Amino acid sequence: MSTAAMQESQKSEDFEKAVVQTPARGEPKVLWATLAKDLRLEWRSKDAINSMIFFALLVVVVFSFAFDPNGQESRQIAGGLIWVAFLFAAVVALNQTWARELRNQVLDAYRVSTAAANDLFLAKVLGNFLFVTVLELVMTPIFVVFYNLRVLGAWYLLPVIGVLGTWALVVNGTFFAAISLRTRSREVMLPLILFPISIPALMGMVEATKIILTGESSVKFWIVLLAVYDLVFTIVCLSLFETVLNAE
Amino acid sequence: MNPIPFLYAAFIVTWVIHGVYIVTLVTRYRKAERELREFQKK
Amino acid sequence: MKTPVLIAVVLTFALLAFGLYQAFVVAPTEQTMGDVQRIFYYHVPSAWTAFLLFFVNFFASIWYLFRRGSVSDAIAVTTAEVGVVFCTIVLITGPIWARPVWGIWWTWDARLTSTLLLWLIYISYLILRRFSTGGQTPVLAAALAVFGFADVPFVYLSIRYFRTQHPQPVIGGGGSLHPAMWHAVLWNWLAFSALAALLCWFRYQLERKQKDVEETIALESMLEGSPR
Repeated sequence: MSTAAMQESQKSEDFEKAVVQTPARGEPKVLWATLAKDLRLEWRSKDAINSMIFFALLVVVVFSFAFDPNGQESRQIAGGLIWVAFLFAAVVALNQTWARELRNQVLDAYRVSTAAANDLFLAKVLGNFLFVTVLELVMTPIFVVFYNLRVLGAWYLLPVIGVLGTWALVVNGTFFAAISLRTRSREVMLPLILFPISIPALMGMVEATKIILTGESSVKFWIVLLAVYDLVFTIVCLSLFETVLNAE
Repeated sequence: MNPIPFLYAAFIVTWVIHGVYIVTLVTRYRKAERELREFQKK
Repeated sequence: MKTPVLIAVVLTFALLAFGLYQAFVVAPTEQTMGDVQRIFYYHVPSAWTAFLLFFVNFFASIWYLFRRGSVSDAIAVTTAEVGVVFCTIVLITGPIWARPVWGIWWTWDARLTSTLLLWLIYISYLILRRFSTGGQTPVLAAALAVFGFADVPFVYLSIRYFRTQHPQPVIGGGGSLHPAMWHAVLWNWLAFSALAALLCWFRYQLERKQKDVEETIALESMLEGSPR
């Protein structure tokens, strides 16, 4: 094992053991502690963020060969392209969500501790949410440049779509990443179970983005759909995560 | 385009799919029975 | 085969034959599409049967999450598999119908697209069951089934709205049905439900047999005390 990995492993182990042994249920300390640890580790290595950005960039470039974007046409398809690129890049982040925990037996520590399982889950979701949001903030200007995009509709709704859509992908993705842990072809299993269930949300993200870019009609329906989707599936995830964690 | 062959095709395809499924069920069942017998022999 | 099962098989065959008779002889020829419209009498009842099976899968999965019985797990995998079979039939008869009527194999028609999504969701469920290692597969699969079913209203709503924004040919055929046509649909639905019950019963027996094999293997390795 390399020095960096050893250090990471040791720090991670000590940190988790210290954290999961003390707090009682209901204390949010575990959530923020886990989130802070993940962000700190990621900031040091920048593994996930770098691979995500590079992947998204590749998708953009490849698609630009497939579709020759100009003016009106580009506004019609840009919504779909952007979200496909974000979706694939998000899968990169999601796949490594639990890898570190698996390596250092942190999940076992969580199972025997009194810490609420949902704290761990929310910490992971928030971490992934931040990673993907950073990706989106980096990639959006690049998209605008590559496809000569000009927003004809309500541009201020784009961040709303971004937040709702990203949450939809990340909350289900983090949950399914936990389900895929004990499967063969783990990296393939995650998108395989995530994509079908996410299609209504994807439809919402893509259509809403297209409507805002072209200024054609109202995005209200899609925004409401995404918001309700987020609410329903966040509740489902929180209800079932402990069961899944204990099942591993 | 004469639509009638499509009519027959649809009905035939339905029965082919059900038939294939039943065949797989029988095959898997026989395989499981064989495995059970082998393990019980030991 | 045991007598009750044999009776069920004969009854199912009779119903299916009667359904066929209804579809081809009794139901009147549709005005605009002609005889090819009779595919409707297999296409729609198959869809309803698939939805019914997935509905049962949802309840079996929830029941499993609460009680962890092997019966509910067996019912879950059974209904998912048979449901996928019926769903496949809907997805194939749909385009076969669409081609002569509309000239295209596929439209993003509401019913067909929703069925495709349902098919994808339950195929992913079956793949998870197949690829999952370790003994906790039923729990994980049951969790996925809950997600899948919770998704159904969103699938329906989003596709409906999408279709009103981007109108497409409707494969289901709009408008009201002649009463004799309703009879054909309902008789075939009854027949397919009977067939589904029969297929589920056989699949359930297969599941029990496979669980027996697993238990025997587990017992063997416990008693022997040495790894195989």
